[in-house]
Parts: sequence; structure tokens; C-alpha cells
Amino acid sequence: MLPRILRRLGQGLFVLLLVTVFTFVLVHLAPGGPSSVMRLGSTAAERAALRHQLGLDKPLPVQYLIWIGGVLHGNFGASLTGGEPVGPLIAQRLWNTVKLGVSVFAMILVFGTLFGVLAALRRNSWLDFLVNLASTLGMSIPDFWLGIMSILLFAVELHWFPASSTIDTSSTGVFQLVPYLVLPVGVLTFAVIPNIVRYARAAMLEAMSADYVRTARSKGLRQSTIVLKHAFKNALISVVSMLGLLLPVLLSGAVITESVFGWPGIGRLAVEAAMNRNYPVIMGVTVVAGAIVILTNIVVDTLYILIDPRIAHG
Amino acid sequence: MADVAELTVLAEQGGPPSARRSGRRSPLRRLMRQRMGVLALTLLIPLYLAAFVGPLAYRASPTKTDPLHANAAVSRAHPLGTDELGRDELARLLHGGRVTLSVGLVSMVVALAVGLLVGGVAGYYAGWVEIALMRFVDMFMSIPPFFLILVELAVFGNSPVIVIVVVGLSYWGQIARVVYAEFLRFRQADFVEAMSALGARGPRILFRHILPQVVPSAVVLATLVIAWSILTAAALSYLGLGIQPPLASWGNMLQNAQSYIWLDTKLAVFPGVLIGVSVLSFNLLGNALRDVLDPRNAGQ
Repeated sequence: MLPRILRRLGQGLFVLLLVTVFTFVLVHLAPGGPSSVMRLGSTAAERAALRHQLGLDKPLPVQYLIWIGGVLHGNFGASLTGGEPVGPLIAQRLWNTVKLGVSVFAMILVFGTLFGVLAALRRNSWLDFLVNLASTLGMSIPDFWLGIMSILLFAVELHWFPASSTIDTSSTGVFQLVPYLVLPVGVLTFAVIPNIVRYARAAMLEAMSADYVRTARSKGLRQSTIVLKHAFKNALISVVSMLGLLLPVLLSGAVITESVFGWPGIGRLAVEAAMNRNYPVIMGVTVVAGAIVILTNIVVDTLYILIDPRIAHG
Repeated sequence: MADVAELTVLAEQGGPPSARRSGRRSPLRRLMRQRMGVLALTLLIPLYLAAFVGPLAYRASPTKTDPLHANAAVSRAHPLGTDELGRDELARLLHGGRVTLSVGLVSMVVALAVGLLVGGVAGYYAGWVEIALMRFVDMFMSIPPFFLILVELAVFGNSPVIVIVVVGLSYWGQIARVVYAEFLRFRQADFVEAMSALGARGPRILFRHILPQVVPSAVVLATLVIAWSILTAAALSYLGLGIQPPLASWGNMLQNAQSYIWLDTKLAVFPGVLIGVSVLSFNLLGNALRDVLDPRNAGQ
């Protein structure tokens, strides 16, 4: 079991290393790379001085090692627009995305599993049909458009919730944030939940047709015991293992949702950085997003190895 | 010689697997039995006709501004009114559809080409090629697609070609994984071993004999990738990073919708509904095709 976990860890860290190299090379080899930002500098001497100051005159591998050394210490360089350090900027924005993301994760885990399992138990019923319809719509409606429409309905017409989150999220208490979170969390949940509903439905259908369920039934166990104690438990394990794979989808959705609602998270930061060609920020944000996905998946897979007795004793 | 051997082997196996899968009926006939698949086609065909033939019939300019008649209501001159710069809304929707639906198709081709190549080569050649390529796929899939797209757009700019390629390159990893898994199944298959024993070389086996087996999965994935590409390109346009105005796309028609929504709701509704309907149709079509082409889902 331990070698298995260590191998998974090593593989994950190697992929993370690849992410940093790829991001760095992409940004530095491209025609519009960091050096092009300095066309504002008027004289050649000034440009050379700036190149030297930013370390862009060194060979690329050396530049990478300097950059990655800083990143490992939380130093992502200075923002090209304000000159502020990128590390604390990302940390602050990431915390806002965590508030959004954790709420969405809780919603999709509870309601996604619930609806998926119910649809599986009442297969081919009107409930199954409705759940299927709603998840197909969730996959098809552009989330930014749904955001605009929900602002129009709930903020402009009904005045239930504020239209955007232009608030100081750092000094506002969690409970005061709730009204600002309702619309973004709702929109992002609707966009991400179809994945988990479909998966939970399929996992539950598979579990209900498994041999151990037939055995439980032939023992004369009550239906509720079979469903809750036998089938659901097994279906839930595979649903939870799926959550790690959903993280990239969630973070991608956060880019859009945060932009629509003006939520100051890491996704909004990425869009701002891309628009301003703020390379230290965009490299930092990408590497951090990749690291979150990779580390979460290592943790999920490790838990899976620890929980699943077939692997633990196998 | 190789083809003769193929026929012999396939005869023993009872015909090519793809033919056995679909039974006697053609895939199209089976697709027509899927109500959702039919619904998808009845939505998609008019949409494509409107986008590609419509502008020939309805000749109003999608880019001519007319500030005096901005945000005009529905009238004889402007069947769907005008936008915030006085441009004809119907003309913009038709021309925008052309751009949006083309982006979906071309991005899908990019994703499919890269995914098939990387997944196929990794699945066929065991050893370091396989390991290197699949770690590369892992890396691509670890970066959330929108973050990857934003870096690429920041570096390469956002000309229409770049946007299409970048959107296509955000989804090839999933295709590569599926193709890889399929190729792994066939790497050890009897007919592949028979081919190598007869002296057929790697590329020939790869492209002539294994690739066709992967077509059903690839078709399903391709349909779903079109849906994803349309959604992604639209979202990029909304963020102001996609296809740039004055060229109309359904996505960039929504770019200013948020600021004009109080003035004119229809400007925000039409393009959004059209994006939703086309994405919905491709999702439904993909699901219907999966039921038709993949025997593993036959029972559900």
C-alpha cells in the first residue's frame, strides 16, 4: 500500500514539475513574451537595463531555475502593472475563490448525489426524466449568460440579491458575504452539477445490479437497508473519487462566474492578467491552479487507496 | 497481402467489430430511433442553414452602424430591431452564427487530430513513448482549461485563428485518454498480432487497422467537443478575449449585454438562447450517438 501511495505522489509531483516548465517555456519562448512588454521603454540602453534588471538576459534554463526557486519560497515576482508582489496577491484572491469553490463543492456533493441516486432508484420515471433534462440544460446553457439573466431577474427586477460583489471581501464577515455569494454559487453549481448527477446515477445503477445487492435481497433484507447500507455506500465512494477530477471544471467555471459577478477571486485575476499581458501574474496563477488540481488528486487517490479494502488487502 | 490476412482474421471473428456492434441496421437508421437524436438534428439543420445560407437571402449589413436608430424596436426595416450601435440585430445573429458554428467545427477538428495522434501513438507503442506522451497528457489536463486558454491568449494574441486553435487544444487531453484506452485494448488483439506476424509495420497497423475501431468513440467525443468549443469560445468573447468586434459572433454580441440589459433585454436574450440551443443539440446528439454506437450503454 505504501509503495503505491509513494508512486502516486512521485508521479503527481513530476506532473507538477512539467506544469511549471511548460508554463514558463510557453510564456518565454512566444513572440509576445515578457520582453515585448518593454517596447514602452524608449531607448535601447533603457531596454537593455530593464532586461538585465528582470534577468531576461540570462539563458532560459537559468531564468527558469531562478523563477522556480522563488516560486518554491512563495515569491512569484512583481506584478508588471502595479509592481506589487504577485505571491500575496494570488493568496488573497485564492482565498476568495476558496469561499466560492467550497460552497459550490458542498452543493454539488449533497444535491448532485441526492438527485443522481434518486434518479437511479426511480429509473425511467418522471423524476429521472426531469433530473436528466435539468442536467442536460446545465451542461448546455452558457454559464456567463445564465449569470447575466440571474442578475436581471434576481438583482434588477426582484432586488433579492446584490448584482455584483464589489465589496471588501477581506474585512466582511462570512455571514455578511452570504447574499453576495448566492447568485455566483447558484450559477456555478448549475453548471458543474450535471457531471456529478450523471456519475452518481450511473454508479448507483451499477451498485444496485451488483452481486452483493442480489445477495442482500435474497437474504430478505429490507429495501431501505439494501439501498442505504449496501448500494449507496459503494456508490458514494466512487462519487467522492470523482470530485478530484471535477476540480479543473470548477476552477474553469470560476473564471467565468467571478467575471460576471465581479467576485475578486483567482479566476478574475487570471482574466485581468491575460488582458494586461501581466506575465508574472498569469504564470503564477496558472501554476497555482495546476498545483491545486494535482495536489487534490494526489490526496483523493491516496484516500481511495486507504479506504478501498480491495487495494488495502490486495 | 495484408488485406487478405485481414479478411481471413475478420471472417473468423465474424466480421469487423464495428459492423457487428451496430447489427444489421445502419447507424443512421438506429440514430433516427433515438428521439433526442432526432430532436437535435431538427434543431441543428435549420440553425446551420440560417447561418450559412441565411446571409445570402437576408442582405442587411451586420457591421453598418446607425447611431440615430440605436436600440430600435422590431420594425419592417429591422425585423429584430437594432443593437446599441444601430446595427441590424437579425443580420448580426445570422453572421454571428456563421462564425460561432464554424469555430465549433474547426476547434473540434483540431482537438480530434491532436487527441487521436497522441492517444493512438501512446496506446500503440509501449515503453518510454507511451509514458512520456501520457505524462504530457496528464500535465495538460491538470491545468484547468480556462487558465490554460488565458495564458495562451495572453502570449499569442487573439486573432480568430489563434482563438479557434487554443479552444481546440483545451480539450484534446480527454480525447487522447479515451483513444489511448481503446488502443491499449487492441494492442494485444488477435487481429493486430496476426498483422505483425504477417509483416505489417507499425504505422500501417496503427492507421489502417486500429484507427477504424476507434471511430465510434471518436464520433461521440467529437460531437461533445463541438458543444464544449462553442461554449468556450462564447465565454471568451464575453470576457473580451475571443473573436473581436466588429466581426459578429454570438459570444461577442453578449460582451456588452451586461451593460445594456436595463435598456434592451432582447439583445442579451437572442444570442444566449442560440448558443444554448446549439450546445444543447450537440450534447443531445452526442448522447444519442453514444447509445447507438457504444454497445456498453445498450442496456441503459
